[in-house]
Amino acid sequence: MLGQIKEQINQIEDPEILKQTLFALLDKVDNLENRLNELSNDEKSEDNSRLEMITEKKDRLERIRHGLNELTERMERPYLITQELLAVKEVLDTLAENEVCNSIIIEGEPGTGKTQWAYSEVGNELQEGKDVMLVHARIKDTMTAQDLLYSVDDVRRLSDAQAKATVPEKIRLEAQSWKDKIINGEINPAEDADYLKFKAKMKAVEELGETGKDLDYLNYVDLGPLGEAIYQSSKGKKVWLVIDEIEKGREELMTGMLDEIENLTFTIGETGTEIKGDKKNLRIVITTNTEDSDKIPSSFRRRSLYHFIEYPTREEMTEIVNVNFPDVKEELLDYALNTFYAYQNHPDIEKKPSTPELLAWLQVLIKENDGEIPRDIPHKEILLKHKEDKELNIDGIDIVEQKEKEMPNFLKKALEGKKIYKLTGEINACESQSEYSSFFAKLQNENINFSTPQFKETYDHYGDYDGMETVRRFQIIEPGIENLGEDYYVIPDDKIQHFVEHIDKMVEVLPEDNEFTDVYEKNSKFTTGTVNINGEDLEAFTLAGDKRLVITKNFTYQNLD
Amino acid sequence: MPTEITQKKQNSSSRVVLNKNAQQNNNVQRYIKKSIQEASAQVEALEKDIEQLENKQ
Repeated sequence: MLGQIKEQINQIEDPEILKQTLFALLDKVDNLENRLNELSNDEKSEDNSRLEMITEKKDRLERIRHGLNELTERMERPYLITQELLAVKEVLDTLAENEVCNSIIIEGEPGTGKTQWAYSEVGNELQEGKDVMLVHARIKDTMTAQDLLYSVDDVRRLSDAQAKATVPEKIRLEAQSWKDKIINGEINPAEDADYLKFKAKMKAVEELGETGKDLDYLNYVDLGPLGEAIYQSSKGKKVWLVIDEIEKGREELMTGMLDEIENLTFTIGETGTEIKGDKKNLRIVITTNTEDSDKIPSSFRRRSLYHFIEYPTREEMTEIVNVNFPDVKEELLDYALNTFYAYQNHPDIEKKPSTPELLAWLQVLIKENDGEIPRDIPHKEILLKHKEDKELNIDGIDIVEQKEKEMPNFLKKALEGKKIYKLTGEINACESQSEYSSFFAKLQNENINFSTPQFKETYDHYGDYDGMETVRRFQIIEPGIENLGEDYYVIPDDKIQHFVEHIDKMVEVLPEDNEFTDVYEKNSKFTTGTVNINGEDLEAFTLAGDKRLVITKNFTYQNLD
Repeated sequence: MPTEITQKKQNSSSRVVLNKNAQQNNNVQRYIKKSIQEASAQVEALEKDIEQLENKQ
């Protein structure tokens, strides 16, 4: 059967075959696991080492299964890249090669392709013939920085120790009793004082040279994802480390690994072995969902590049669907998008559906309904994960109205106290480029990373030239500066002097006693209208649940504190 | 009346480079292909180990 799988792999061009191969391999893993289970059930001998071998094989299988499941998920995801992100990637490479900065924070809603970007870049480098690997760490709230670096398998180490004749009988027996206690959960090996004393004794024995060779700690070190990435980069391998959904981690996790990410060095305490990674070889992609992105400490942000991926508009979503299902009927697509956005915008929804769910749902609709529009909403379970969400009524939602409202990205960040500025939009116009060349020169000379805008010629229906269109906007790409899109940036005070001449507006949070004079739009997320300040009407926003008004006002030097 | 910002969003051209799509999806597939190759080699090695264990039983 494996031979068959191998043959299939070599012929992979078709994603469907790729998927089938993946599933076949997963079946094989299940089959091997069953065989191991039978072996351990039938095991009657007193010899522990055989059982331990079986357990170790099971662990290895579990890791393979985990990796394969991750791949299955990647298969299902659509991927989109923006010109802006392409430019950011180039800067990241340059900075990493000069050992200035090799990490990037990618922020965006679920399903915008944050993780997929890293997978795609690794694939791209494979295409170029590079020896590259990807390490994927999904953050959970119970994780510690230590988990990401390494752990020592003390139980296995003790058990191996007792098998060796060179270990004194007394220690061997003691090791066995500690091992039992650890396995039975009677003690916490990291905290139990008596156990730690025993460990120290073991170390002393090692130092006496009696067991040193056999108890080589390094054989019992399991590297975590960050540890593995640093280790591999030290061996000259190119590594992409994805730290996924970092906001799910506790603050100690983030601050705890800051130093390792910055210096790519860690020490295995038990042996004193220092592992020093190579910045040139390692790219660290940290992804975060917009909702909780404020949990990332600012010390983290200062050291990394940052890119915000916007949620696709309805127009873009239509194109995404068309790329995936070129033959979908327009009416069915409309129906699916209407339903999708109705749930997306529903004020009471617990877990919004995202792009992969929409595509999976459409796939079933196309198959089952032969392109016809269903009467109700079949297979809601694909779109909605929460029981309560499935019971929501979306009949009354006016979809056409909803899709036009988009919350500006700066609103939440301004309320978090970040300083946000808007560069002049003119910098992105083709005809005004000559006015900005000296500004670009200044940035270049001051060693600020940026990318100039790019344009393409456009033609009307008759094929006549219709002017230049901006396909990539001007971008500042610097560690610590966050590009929020639409020319809005979070710029820390120590960097603002580079840009002051071309800042058009700044975002300000007004004191709570300010009120709207007019309101134009209100929805479940935010309200927008105007507020009158010193006789002038200014555009203002509030976030649902927060009374403070956020305005954009003209920027002058005097506005700077 | 749409506000300045929401208006601009509607007018701005598509930010997504769709013609890059096929290439990018191929990249992901290429990575998956390589990973499956590695995984299948590991599974093969494990199967041999398990066969040995079974034979020794």
